Amino acid sequence: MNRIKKLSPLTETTFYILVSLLEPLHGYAIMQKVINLSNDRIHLGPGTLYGALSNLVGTGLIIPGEPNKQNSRRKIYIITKLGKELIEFEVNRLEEMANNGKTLLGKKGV
Amino acid sequence: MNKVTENMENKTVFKVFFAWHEKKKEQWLRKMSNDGWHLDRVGFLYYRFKKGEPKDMIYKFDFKPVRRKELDDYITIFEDAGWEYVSRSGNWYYFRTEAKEGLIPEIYTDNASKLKKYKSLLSLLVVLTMPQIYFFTMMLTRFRNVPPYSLPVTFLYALILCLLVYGIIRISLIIKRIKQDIRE
Repeated sequence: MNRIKKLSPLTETTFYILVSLLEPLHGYAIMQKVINLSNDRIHLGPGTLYGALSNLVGTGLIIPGEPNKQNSRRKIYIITKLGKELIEFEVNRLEEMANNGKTLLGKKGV
Repeated sequence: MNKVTENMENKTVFKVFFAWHEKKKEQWLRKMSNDGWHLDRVGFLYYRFKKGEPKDMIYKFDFKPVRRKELDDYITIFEDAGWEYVSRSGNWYYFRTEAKEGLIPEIYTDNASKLKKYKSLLSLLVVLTMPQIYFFTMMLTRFRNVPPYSLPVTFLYALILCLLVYGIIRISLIIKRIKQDIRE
């Protein structure tokens, strides 16, 4: 748990990359998925994506998987148990923030 | 400072850009492409171009210590995102893509990753500079009058050191600016 607290909060970019990897994907597929998830708001640059992937591998939140045969040039990544735990932690934290925001805005009658 | 060797198909330009002159270099290479000279190879202080159709190409440079076995993966991610890998010089990788509707595409799309790029550049500069400062001090104090000590050598050495220190300051300022952007 302490480890997870240290890794939180994730940047928006890192969070989206990490949730994308709940299914195994290669770099280009991650970019596409993040565009979809964010309703076209977040277009990951390749420099940002590559850097984030190496960091996530470095911290043990994702691991490079077996290259699949059709697409052997592209490395596949998948989330680890630690990665999933971190997402759960982040989702709860963001939910708390969103709820508090909504409630307090509502009270003021905005 | 420019020296040009040119024929119909190729042109090599000797030109000095420092690490903190990225924007200038981007603009220069873009103008060259607009004139039909497309970057083909980068080396130490030289740029080789190939003649082709004039095109509005956007150039971006990434500073990244990439391991040999990671190189394929690294370049593939850029290519998938629509960037062409052009050349490299040391840890600097050169990519380009055609400008679309006046938009300038970026290879770094958030400040956290941009910060990482300049931090790794800064640490390389610091690692290069620190021992030089030590050697320079030794040369001035203990090894005075021992070859290769001489006025011109000392002067040249001091000049290189100043440049390195100036580089560290410039890159630190870039880092400071990105950090301010993050806090806003």
